[in-house]
Amino acid sequence: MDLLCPPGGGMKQNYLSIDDIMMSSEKIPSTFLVSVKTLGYLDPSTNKKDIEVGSKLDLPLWLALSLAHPRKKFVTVELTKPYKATYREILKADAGVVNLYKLCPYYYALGQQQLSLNHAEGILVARSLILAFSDRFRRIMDLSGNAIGGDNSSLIQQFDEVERRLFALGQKSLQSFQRWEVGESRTLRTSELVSRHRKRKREAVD
Amino acid sequence: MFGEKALDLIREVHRTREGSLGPYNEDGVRQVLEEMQVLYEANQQDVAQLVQNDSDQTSLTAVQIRHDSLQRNKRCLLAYLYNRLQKIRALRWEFGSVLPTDVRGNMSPKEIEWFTKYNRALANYMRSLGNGGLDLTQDLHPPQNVHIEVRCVEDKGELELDDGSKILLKKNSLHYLPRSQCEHLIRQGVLKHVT
Repeated sequence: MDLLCPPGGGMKQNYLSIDDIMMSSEKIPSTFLVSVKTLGYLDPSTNKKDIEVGSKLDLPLWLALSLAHPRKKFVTVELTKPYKATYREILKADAGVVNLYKLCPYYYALGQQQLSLNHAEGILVARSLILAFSDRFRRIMDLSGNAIGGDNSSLIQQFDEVERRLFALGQKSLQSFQRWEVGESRTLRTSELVSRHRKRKREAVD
Repeated sequence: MFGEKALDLIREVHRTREGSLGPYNEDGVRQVLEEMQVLYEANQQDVAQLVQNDSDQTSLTAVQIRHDSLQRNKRCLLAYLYNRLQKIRALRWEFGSVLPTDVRGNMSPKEIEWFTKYNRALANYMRSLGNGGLDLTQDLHPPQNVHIEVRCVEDKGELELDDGSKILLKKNSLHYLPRSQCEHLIRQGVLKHVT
């Protein structure tokens, strides 16, 4: 799939990317520096008509990015939890055992996006992301290039979306290599889309 | 928060990205459009007030939030439609020019119209290639033999070959056929290539 265009990059590069849209809907804790008239109903914790100065609200990333823009400064944003010092320490200790998907399905991309929000800890987050990825990458490559037939679902569950994509890609090339080895690559096969479609139909009948 | 309905549409695409085309969510799209209409009207009202009364800038933030939400909804809708079209285009190459009825039933009238147009454009293009046309959906892998052996997976009735002879496609029957005649049927899962 579109591995070359991983989530991130925002509106300009990935306007139509489903992954990027999903990623940019993650919630960012924000504090309003200005009052917002008539939109008080966005804050479920109060019944007031307006959003007041200083009220805290979890805004989706797409809105936070726009409102926290240095030229506007309508809100200040906080780093989301999985990127704070505690979690960075855990990743530093051994990134391989962390369930990244649980922290955030788009862990690397969301971290990257938050860098542009000028946190004081920005550089630390960036470093931790790179370290975590390089630490985990070796195991993912190893697994995707060698694991055949076994049940890896418990391991895959811990991968974030980009890692899952990498893993699937490695598995696919491993499989086609094996098919080539036994001389099967010349055989014509039912297209994947069609066979998936049939499977679904069969499920519906059962 | 604004944009939640639109995100539901995107989640739907995300869920079904491995499988075949999901049903077109007409209701969801309509709800997003309604939300956008409300946002747009509220913004028009606020902006009109701003123009009249320059000194009062306090509603500017609200305008900005609504504007961002409008943009977001637009992006989600476009991505929803675009990714469906991508899938429909892939279906054309896998299933051929006639789609199974249940897949067709999941498409909106506009999507069916687009599919017909895409079909026509593709057919016209393939006809214009070389002398007398070239079927691009043939020979996706370089062919090794002219004839291949196939087993029939389901009862499909009679198949007329290019040379005029007819064969009966009965379940589990074996045939030795020109590759060009049966590649489509293999991709559609009617025949199985035996080696």
